[in-house]
Amino acid sequence: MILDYKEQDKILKKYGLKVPDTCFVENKTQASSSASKIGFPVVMKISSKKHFHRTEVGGVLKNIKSKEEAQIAFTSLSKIEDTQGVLVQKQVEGVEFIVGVKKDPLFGGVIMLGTGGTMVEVFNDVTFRVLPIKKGDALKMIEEIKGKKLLEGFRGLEKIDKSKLADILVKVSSLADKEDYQEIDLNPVILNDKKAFVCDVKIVV
Amino acid sequence: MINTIFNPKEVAIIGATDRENSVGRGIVENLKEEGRKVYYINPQKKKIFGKKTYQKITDIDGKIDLAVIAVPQKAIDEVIDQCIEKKVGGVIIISSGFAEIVKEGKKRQEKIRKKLSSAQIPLVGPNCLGLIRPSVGLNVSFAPGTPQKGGIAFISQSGGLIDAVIDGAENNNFGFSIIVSVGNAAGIGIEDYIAIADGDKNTNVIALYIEGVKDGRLFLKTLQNTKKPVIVLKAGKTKNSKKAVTSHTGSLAGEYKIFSAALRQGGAIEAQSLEELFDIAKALSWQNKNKGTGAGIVTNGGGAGVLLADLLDENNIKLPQKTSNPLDILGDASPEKYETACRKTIKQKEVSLLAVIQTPQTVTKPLENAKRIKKIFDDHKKPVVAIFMGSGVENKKAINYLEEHKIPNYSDPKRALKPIMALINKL
Repeated sequence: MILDYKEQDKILKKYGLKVPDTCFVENKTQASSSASKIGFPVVMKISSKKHFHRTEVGGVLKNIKSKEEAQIAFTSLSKIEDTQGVLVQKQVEGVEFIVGVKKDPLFGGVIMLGTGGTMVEVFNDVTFRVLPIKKGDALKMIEEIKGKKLLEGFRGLEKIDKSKLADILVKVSSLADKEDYQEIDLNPVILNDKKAFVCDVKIVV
Repeated sequence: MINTIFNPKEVAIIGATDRENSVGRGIVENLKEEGRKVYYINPQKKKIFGKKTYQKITDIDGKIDLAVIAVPQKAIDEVIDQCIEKKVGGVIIISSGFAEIVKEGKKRQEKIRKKLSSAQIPLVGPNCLGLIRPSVGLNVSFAPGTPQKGGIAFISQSGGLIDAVIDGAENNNFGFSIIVSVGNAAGIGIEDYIAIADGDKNTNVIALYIEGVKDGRLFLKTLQNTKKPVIVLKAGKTKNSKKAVTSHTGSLAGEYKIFSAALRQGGAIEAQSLEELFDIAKALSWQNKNKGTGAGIVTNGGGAGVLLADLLDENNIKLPQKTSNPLDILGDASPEKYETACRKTIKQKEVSLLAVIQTPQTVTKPLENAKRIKKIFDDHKKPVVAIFMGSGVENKKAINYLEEHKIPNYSDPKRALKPIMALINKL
């Protein structure tokens, strides 16, 4: 079972993992007013305990730029089955990574870092460590994936401090150390030259 | 434990025999008396190869450090009880028919383990090939002979692979400090063997063949605590957990990938084949690592030099360009020319390791080249790797000379790649 939005949000905050401004909305009016309060563009996505991969059911809509678009988005998202509500989130630009945790039968808790986004399984650019990890381990993990180039100023992108990503890995390590879970996906984790955000999380218990 | 099992003064072979094609005879032929007393136990024979046999271990007067057991399954219980009564220092059970086959066997194994453990007698095996320590002239196994001594400890979950390595050992110049077949590891576990090898003064490098470990965290911790280099060949890469996968992490995290990551986390080097395991092991058993990023190549053949340069470049190993690198001294290179070029290359600060390639051309003098390379290796405290290609008579002499002086040789630039990376601490 996936934890609901509020519980997940509480856990992320407890470990200092930053989430872009997000509101949980239940009707069209809430959707448009929350969106304009957060500031456009926003991303809107379904909140569901059942859908593990929201993009596969059309449950994530990006680049919403006006109140009207927010209302239309709400209508279409709320039609998806097994949806408990809609999340309106500040759209963050940057490079995408995935950070995950799972229980391995032999080693127990292990953490994964990979080049993220919806195509994570296609690129299969991932590396692992047995938990817990320290910052030095986290920095080594970053060096092991090809996606590290995205942080190094690839093709005119801004250079991004690798220690920002390492900090997230270390925070997830202490989260996994203390909280109950089976599997956790933080995907995407979005970094730009200014900030690093966990934009989406799934904690499976 | 190290002294009773790993360097026993008195050894009893229970199940000793002269019967052809038997495990018991294999052990009898392998175990020489060299400085230790050897007793044969066989209730059906009075003498084996002219040597007195005993009915049972308790008939022997003096103490026994190690009992090696190669008897049929039905006799095991009684033999173990006698070993406990005799208060032997350690036991190796060669016999099979335990946890590896049936449920029944698992129970038998557990019973024996408990008995020995409460008598505080360490156990190697069961279901194993045995133990070989060329460094102290001990071979209590039914392997096809004893390889030469050297700095490699080989710990293997497959007895057959040990046989294969020993059978091919005379083609190699490297040697072993310890070879141990782990078997079912009911008593001494793979982590214990790693710690023993790490503490053994004759061991410089630890080579492991692993199919699986019982406790992942203990294994990782052992690797992290090990001071000597560890190289691991892992089998069973395709097995994946069959549990329904819900998250991306779950679907991307195969068991082998995690094992491989744990090896890295433990500071171990992973090899992809048996050949690669020992290619790396021999380099690390002969030379010290020199942390760095750059290699210098000297070659008398342009093609071979480019092949190695490409491989190093692909793996982010720098080729400092103060002089040409690869430095091609051409096909007619004399030993003097080799020496000058090698010295010029190795003395550069940015060069952490020297790789010398030799293709056997008409004027090439392999042995003379080898002798000069050895001198350079002695003069500088930097790793030197040779790639003398070809296996003609003259070349073989040169390769043997190099390896007798601890300069590893590889027949192909590709085979030299990982050892080079290991020596500059880039693996």
